[in-house]
Formats: sequence, C-alpha cells, structure tokens
Amino acid sequence: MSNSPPYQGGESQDFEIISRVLGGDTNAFEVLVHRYSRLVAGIVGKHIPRGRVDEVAQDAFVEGFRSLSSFSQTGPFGHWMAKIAARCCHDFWRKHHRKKEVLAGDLSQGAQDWMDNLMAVQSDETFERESAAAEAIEILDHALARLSAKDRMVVTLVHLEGLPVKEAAVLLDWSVTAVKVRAHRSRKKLRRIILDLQDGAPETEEVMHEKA
Amino acid sequence: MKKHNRDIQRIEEALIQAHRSLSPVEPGPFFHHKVMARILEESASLRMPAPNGLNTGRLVWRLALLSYLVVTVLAAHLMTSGMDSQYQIFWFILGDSSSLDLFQTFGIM
Repeated sequence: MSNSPPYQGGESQDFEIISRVLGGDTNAFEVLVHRYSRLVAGIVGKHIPRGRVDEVAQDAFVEGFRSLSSFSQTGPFGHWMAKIAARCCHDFWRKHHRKKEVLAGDLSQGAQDWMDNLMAVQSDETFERESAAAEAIEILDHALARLSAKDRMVVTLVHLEGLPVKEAAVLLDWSVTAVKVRAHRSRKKLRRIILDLQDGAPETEEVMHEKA
Repeated sequence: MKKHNRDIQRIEEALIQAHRSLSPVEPGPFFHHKVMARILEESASLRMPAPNGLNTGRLVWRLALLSYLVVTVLAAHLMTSGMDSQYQIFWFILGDSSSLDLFQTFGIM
C-alpha cells in the first residue's frame, strides 16, 4: 500500500465505485475497504484498546456500507469514513461505560511508583524516557476509563492528539461551542482523577457515575 | 495547592507524550476479507426473498395500513350517520332465531 495520504487522489474514482456499489455491485466496496482501512484503523487505534481495534474498524466499514446512500459526494469519502470511525469509537465507549466494565481493576504498584518518580525527574531526557513507559499508558487508560464516552472522545481528540477544536467538531459532528465547553470540562475531570490517583484516593462519585 | 497543580501538569504532559508516542495501529491480517464477508452477508440478507417466496414483511405492513384505513372510515361513517349500534344489534338478534335462543339460554334476554 502506498504512503500517500488516503484522503487525496482517486476522489472521482471513489465516487465511481460508490455509484457501482449503490447500483448493486457489492464487491466493488472492497476497493474502498483496501483504500481506507489504514485510515480507519489509525483513527480507531487512538481511541480503542488495541485488542478491539479490528472489531470496531470492521463495524465502521459495515456502517459505512449501510449508510452509503446518504453519502452526499460533496466532500472526500475519507472524511466521511473518518466521521463514521469516530462515531463507532464513541458507541464502543458508550456501551462499555453503561456496563461499568471500565471500573474494574486498580492501578498497579508500578504505576503508582511511576507517578512518584516523575516528580523527582529533573532532566528532559529522563522525562522523555518516563513518558514512554508502559506505566504511563496504564495510568492514562485508567484515568480515561473513569470518563464518560463523550468526555473521553473529546479529551483524546483535543488534548491528547492536539486536534484543533474545529476539526474535532467536524469529526464528532458537534458544534464548535459544544466541543470547546466539553473539552474544558472533561480536562478538569481528567485532572481531578489524576490528582486522586496520585493521592491514592478513590475517584469522586460524580466522575465515576456520570452518564454519557 | 500550587505544588499539586505543578505535579498534575507534569503528569498530564507525560501522559500526552505517552499517548503520542504510541505506534500507529495497522489493520490485522485478513481484515479486508472479514469486512467483506460481513458486508456480503448483510447484503445477501437484505436481498433474500422470504421463505414462502412472498415478500411477507411488506405485505403485513400493507395489510395493517389497509385495516387501519377501513376501521377509521367505518368509525367516521358510524359517527356521522347517527346510527344507534345497540338498537341495530337488538334487531339483528330478533331477526335470527338461533341467536335469540342462545341469548335466552344465558338469560340475557
């Protein structure tokens, strides 16, 4: 597969393939799956645990196929698929948050030590090394799991990935104001959770049980 | 409090770096085949005719709509015609000797 951005090139070809699929040639959809699988898996991989990425990415393509007739062909197909992928990630967390599966498990001793050590780190080099540690990912997963699906999506897109608010709004299909407000609130929640983790205190009821 | 804020900022910074340092995820083996298998299955079920050869789902909905329309028209007709339904039933019973016997058996009349 080429390294060129999947959004570019072959746009008219995409439209032609879509017309064929809508005309009954279901197999033609495979070309779109090949072309956009890396893009979709990449988006999903930033939000979903690695073991579940394939499943959610598959859901995104199936959803794309189902609603293909609603694709207006006014923008690139990649943008449209990116939105569907983001929505599937949101749905995934919404289901899991409802089941309260995310509340299982405590932080490992290693992760607790990591937070204490980080405070003592002076050099940038050591800080970089600590940031790449598996404990950092464990803490991040632990903290994100305490957020509702919406908060989690916004925090990941805006704060962790550093996506501009406008782009996040397009991806989530929300208004810019809604993303701004939610991003601010959810960051505050995340900070409070981290603070509680650092102090070893349980998370507040409000954060733990807030519905999506 | 200030120390706490500084600590949180530092941890937050490290977590952002940790998230960004994650290697990009590639689709797993046979990803395309699995997606297409699901899509073809779905597409086949959408086009598959009903077991008896009739499109029963659509037929049932059409029948439901028709029944609803008939009942509405009938109700509207009864309301505007000023017909007394109890009086009508009474005459039907009297006109049919077997139902009259049946009603007398049960002591209704």
